[in-house]
Amino acid sequence: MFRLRFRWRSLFQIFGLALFFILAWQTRYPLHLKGWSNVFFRLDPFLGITASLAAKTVIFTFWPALLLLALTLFSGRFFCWNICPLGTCIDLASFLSARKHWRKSPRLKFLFTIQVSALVIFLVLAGFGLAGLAQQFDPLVISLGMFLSRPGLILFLVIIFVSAVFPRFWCFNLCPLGAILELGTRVGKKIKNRPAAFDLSRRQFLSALFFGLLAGGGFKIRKGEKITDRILRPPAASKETEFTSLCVRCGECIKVCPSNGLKPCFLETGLEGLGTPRLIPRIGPCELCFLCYQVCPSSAIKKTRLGQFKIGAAEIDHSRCLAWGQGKLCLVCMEYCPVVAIRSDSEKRPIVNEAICIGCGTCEKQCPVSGEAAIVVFNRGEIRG
Amino acid sequence: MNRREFLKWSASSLAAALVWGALGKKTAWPELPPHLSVVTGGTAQPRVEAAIKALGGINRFVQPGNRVVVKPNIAWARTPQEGANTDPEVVAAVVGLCRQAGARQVIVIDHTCNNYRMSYQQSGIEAAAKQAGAEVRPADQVKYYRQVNIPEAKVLHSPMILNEILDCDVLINLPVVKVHGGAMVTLSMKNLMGVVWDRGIMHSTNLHQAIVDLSLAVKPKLILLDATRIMTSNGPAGPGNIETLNQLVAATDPVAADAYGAKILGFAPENIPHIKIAHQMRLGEIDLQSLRVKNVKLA
Repeated sequence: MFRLRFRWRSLFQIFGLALFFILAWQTRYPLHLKGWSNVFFRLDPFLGITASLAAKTVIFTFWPALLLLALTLFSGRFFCWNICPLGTCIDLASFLSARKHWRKSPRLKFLFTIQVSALVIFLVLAGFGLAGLAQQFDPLVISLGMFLSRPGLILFLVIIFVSAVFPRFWCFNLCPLGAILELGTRVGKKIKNRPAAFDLSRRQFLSALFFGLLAGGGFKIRKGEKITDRILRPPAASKETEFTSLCVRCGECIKVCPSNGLKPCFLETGLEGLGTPRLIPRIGPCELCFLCYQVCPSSAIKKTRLGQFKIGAAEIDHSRCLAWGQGKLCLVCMEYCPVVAIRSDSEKRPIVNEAICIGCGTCEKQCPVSGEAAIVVFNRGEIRG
Repeated sequence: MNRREFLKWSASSLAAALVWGALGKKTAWPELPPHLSVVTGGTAQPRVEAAIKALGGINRFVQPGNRVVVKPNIAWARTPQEGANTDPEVVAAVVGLCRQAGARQVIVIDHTCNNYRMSYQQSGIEAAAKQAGAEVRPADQVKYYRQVNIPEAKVLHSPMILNEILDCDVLINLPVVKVHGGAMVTLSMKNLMGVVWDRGIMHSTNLHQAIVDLSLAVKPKLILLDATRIMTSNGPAGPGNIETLNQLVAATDPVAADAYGAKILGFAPENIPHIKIAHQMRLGEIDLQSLRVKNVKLA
């Protein structure tokens, strides 16, 4: 049933997968890896191009992606077959399900058309500032995302199950990074005067462009969801529109957060905020470790230090507070406050100084009131990076 | 016995007693160990050694083969200089002394307030304690705790307490001397909140009584108040005003230790509710005048 055959490719793949998972595992406090933790994501031209388009700037930290694209012109999709962690997982799945070698898997012409059309639409949408939706389908984002949220895990498992039946189906027909690298490969063949087919006709390209413009325009003119004042961003995250376009949804900050307080948004911050990190202090406060900006590959979270940022400010619900409502001796919020923004009055009741409060949410996390805390952080007065 | 004999006996006994009394002034009775020893000056290692020696030496507390838990204050992700945690060198010295006394295992553990990895590392205690031969264990998950009933308790009837604390032979309580926003001071009894999982209950009932209730169940054999640096404002987390005293107080009586610690911080012990309640519940002596205090000064 299983036929083991040595291939250098498999060796590279296992090495690449192990490296990806070791980097992911080591993306935590204390961060010994420094800038290396996000190296896979900075290799990814799809993330680099969409984020650059969305933010209307060139994100220079993605220079390794250019290198990869240049190598692809000469060597084809070597990244997909040798390095990509999702590709390796897919190969493992098809190997375990005893499917035949991946080269024999179906490559459906109309699906590749869809893959490239989707890429065109994704790029146009990114131009409209809606890159996050497409980035959810990046193979690297999926590979790390399975550790971060339940929808992420489900997406990963679906792709793996499909691949167990149709080997590399995802890579040939759906993967947006694969589409970019495939186009790079074909451009490279063209340069070398080798026969290279471009499956997308001019008509198909133009209609994809049209649909992209239509969707992007519709996205622009629709009435956006109002972001509530309970949405907290990581410390020194850039301004909201800049943040949602610069963020590549890699999930590195969510992975590194020592308190696990950073969680990916679903639709709380609108469609454009899908997959961006938000701080939920009741799960885990900002511990002021400043690792999120160190792992961010696109500087959506800016370099910062204490005193330069403000996530928000805490507010006490006097009716639920043990001290204000029941006259008990508590003051846990005051004890825990890392910046001494809470003091007690003569009756030992806490009072927040909103000017000093940085909104880390330690008080909200530690509040002994069950259920919703009696002291809650709102994003009012936030100072972004 | 006739009258003559009786008088003879009486006279000789009196004479013997007088001689004994005259000599007895010169023959010193073996001195009782002090209730408190207070060592000032020097570096961490000699300070710890002197303080414990004054109480009768480490062998009074740690027998060879014992499993020892050292419970410092590692609550906050702060540096040693910020004075929010026990000084790492003092922790290392205590660990080293226990190892010398033949302890089979020395565990350093605390239920931190901030993230445990950050607190253990930034306090410097993890590195220093490991260097000195201790095992540094996490206490950040409920699986490390089990429920304990305290029959005499007034408010804290069945807290979840660290398994390591319940299963050890010797518990050494090693708090740092700080003021505290809620409990006024945080000394040895307050430091034991770091062995409880569900601390919120202690606040939502009656904090001072709960601290005393906890001391009914968790009884350290040795208490060392680390006053290398004391925090005199914005406690317990700081950043606050720090004074460097280079002092260490050793005791076996938690109330006496805390009364002395309160005095260091400038409080009258009777004004700290949990110290007063603990004295009333016969956990120890609050009156420092009635205690033998041995002061040692190191160069």
